[in-house]
Amino acid sequence: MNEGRSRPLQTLCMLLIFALFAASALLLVLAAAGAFRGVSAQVESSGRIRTSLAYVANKVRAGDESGAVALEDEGNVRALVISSQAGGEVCKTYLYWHGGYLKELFLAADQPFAPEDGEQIERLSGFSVRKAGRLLTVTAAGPEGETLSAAVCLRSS
Amino acid sequence: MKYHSGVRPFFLEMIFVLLFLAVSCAAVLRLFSAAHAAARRSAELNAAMVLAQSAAETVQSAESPADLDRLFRGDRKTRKDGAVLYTAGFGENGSPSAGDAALRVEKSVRASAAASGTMLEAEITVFSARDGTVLFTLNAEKYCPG
Repeated sequence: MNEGRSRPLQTLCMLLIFALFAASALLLVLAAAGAFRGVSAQVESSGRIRTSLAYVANKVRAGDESGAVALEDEGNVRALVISSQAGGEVCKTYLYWHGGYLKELFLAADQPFAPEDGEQIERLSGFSVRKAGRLLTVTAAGPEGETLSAAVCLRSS
Repeated sequence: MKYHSGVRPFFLEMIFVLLFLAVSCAAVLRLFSAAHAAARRSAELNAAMVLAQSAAETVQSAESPADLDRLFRGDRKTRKDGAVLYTAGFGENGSPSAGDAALRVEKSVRASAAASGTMLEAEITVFSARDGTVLFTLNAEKYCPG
């Protein structure tokens, strides 16, 4: 009789322990996935911003000739324009933010600027360039709105 | 008897599995906590490098020693050991911070007379405001003629 009465209790205990095990395993997986997602998003966001800033800064340093670096407003897009000579022709490299991306467009100086034609460099939620004297300040914003600015001194001017 | 012989081993096994899971959980959570701290430290270091490089470029763009006051106008200006110290605070990802700063950037600029001009020597140090550790240091020199 006793044995018969304790059977459902033992089964219940077993089920409870199994449920506890399943819940713990699920929680562990969820916590690990959440932590991984957080770390990965942080690294990705920081990488996106840093890559964009380094890319623009290196472009400016590479094309830093007297009067070659300027800011131009093309329609409703503000672009950093680096002029250079290629095959005896004056060419312009446009770096600008359009459609959620930092874009680059290389054109002959007489060709019209079309922002949608640019090559996507990096996905950003914002990008701006400011020029004060010899100092160019580039600001990039990540997907969560965090911003980082890098300054580049125009040594040629 | 048959029932007991089937249930007890399963019961014991589940308890061992749960114990093992608890130990694994502790290890995995510690691992993720360490990964989070490492990622945060890495983001801080990256931001510190960008901030220090920007400060060095800003010193390079100065036309004269007096120009530094204009260039670092948002910073707190003090004097320390004969050098001018400009201090600014930033968030942990390098964004400007009005309140509690996670990173502190100190630019110690010393001006000395050089042949027909002034030599500016800047020591740029980025500190973690949390524990005061030095994250990155950079030196920059700029000759201002006249």
